[in-house]
Amino acid sequence: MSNYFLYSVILILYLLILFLIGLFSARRAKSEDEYYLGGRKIGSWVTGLSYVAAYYSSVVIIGGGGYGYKYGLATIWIAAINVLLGVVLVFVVLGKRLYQFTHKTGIMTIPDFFQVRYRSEPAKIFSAVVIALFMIVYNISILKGMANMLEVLLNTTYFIGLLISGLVIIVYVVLGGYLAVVWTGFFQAILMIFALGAVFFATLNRIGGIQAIFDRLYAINPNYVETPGIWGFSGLFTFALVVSLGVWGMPQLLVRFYSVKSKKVLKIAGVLGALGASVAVVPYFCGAASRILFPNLTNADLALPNLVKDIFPPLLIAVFIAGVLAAGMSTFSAVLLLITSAIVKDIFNWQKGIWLSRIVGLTIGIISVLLALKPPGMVLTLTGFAWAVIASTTTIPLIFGLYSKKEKGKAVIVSMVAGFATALIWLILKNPFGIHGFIPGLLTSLIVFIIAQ
Amino acid sequence: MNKPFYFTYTFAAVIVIFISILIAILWALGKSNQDKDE
Repeated sequence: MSNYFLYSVILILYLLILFLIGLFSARRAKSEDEYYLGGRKIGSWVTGLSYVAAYYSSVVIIGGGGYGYKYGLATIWIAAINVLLGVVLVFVVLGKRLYQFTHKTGIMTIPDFFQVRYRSEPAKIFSAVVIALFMIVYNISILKGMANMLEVLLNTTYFIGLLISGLVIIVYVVLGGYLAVVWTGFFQAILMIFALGAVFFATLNRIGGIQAIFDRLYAINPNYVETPGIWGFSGLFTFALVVSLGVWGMPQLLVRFYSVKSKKVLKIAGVLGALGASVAVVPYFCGAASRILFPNLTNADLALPNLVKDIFPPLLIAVFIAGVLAAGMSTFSAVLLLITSAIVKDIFNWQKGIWLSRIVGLTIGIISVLLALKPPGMVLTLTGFAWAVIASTTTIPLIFGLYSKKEKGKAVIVSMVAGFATALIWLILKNPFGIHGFIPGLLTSLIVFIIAQ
Repeated sequence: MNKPFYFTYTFAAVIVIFISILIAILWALGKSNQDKDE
């Protein structure tokens, strides 16, 4: 029996489970509130772990391994700052207030929040259009990443890789809505945690324990062990900050805070989310450790796939492939539902029930897959930072909206446009001064917001 | 220093994770006045 056959069997089994979750969810999604928010009755485990699943895409696993390989053990700081700023503080600072506000007002989406909080229709429409457009671009980048990975790991074509990763997601999101997104997210997070946990222990076993990894990396170059190491202080910590603060304005993650059953559930979800998110240490750690086994890789992103092929039997390799795929799919599905809600609820405000939402979701999903088939040049340039443009638009108005009592109806739209434009122009200019466009975008949005009051 | 030891600055990162989880647990256990009102 060839390994590829085994991989395919595991993959099909995995996709089948996702499909079944979609079917079961579809039976429970009857109203719009159920379709977009799961009837606001989601429990702590599902909320906490599906938050992690939607946060981490395949980039964290494969790219994280690459960073670890290139820059050494210091990259573990990225995971630590992810957990602290990207999970724990988001729950503490935004979670409870967003829950309270949404339960008082009954709003369903983040653009809705801007309209109700600031009494500004333009802010709602502008944020929804930015979300819809740039999230499609983000989706294309996730799809492309998964298809590229399957192309290598399953020895298939890009087209088949794209179909495998894209079609099943579209079916379960369109059928089951939010319930399908969070329950598949929950299942995928567990798969991810299991796969990465196995990689961690197998790596320790292969090289001979943590001390051996330290010693041998130190022998290659002490900078692979020390902080800040090869990357340097500013490079390492700006990157970590950007990928952690970016999630503060991400509507597909924020929705977790107001779809929970109660405030108590939200708090437990925060703890579980923090525990689950800690697994991000593994790709960086093992990426660094893989330098001991493969000192001369030309493409750092192949560090983890190479390591996995070295330490795992075929069955576990298949589980690892499913785990990486899970990271990408759970992000894609959360984003797909978000785009649907932005179009149906925020931009057009169609009141035609969930079947219309399903048709829109299906259309957006198919468009994403078709665009990912042969992404236009401009889309390709945008994929790396689509999320940064959205976060620059929404983060500041969201935080002020939850913590300040002032109205600032006009300030919000000015701040949004300023943050959006700065981030976009900065990123198109290819990050002048080596600073990621999210930082000037966020700062401009903040300054303009304060001045415009 | 000839031999790197377990606790380098790198592994301070792991401590940050534990502190984060601790913050989350304390937050989860904490009861604000607002909670009691409801």
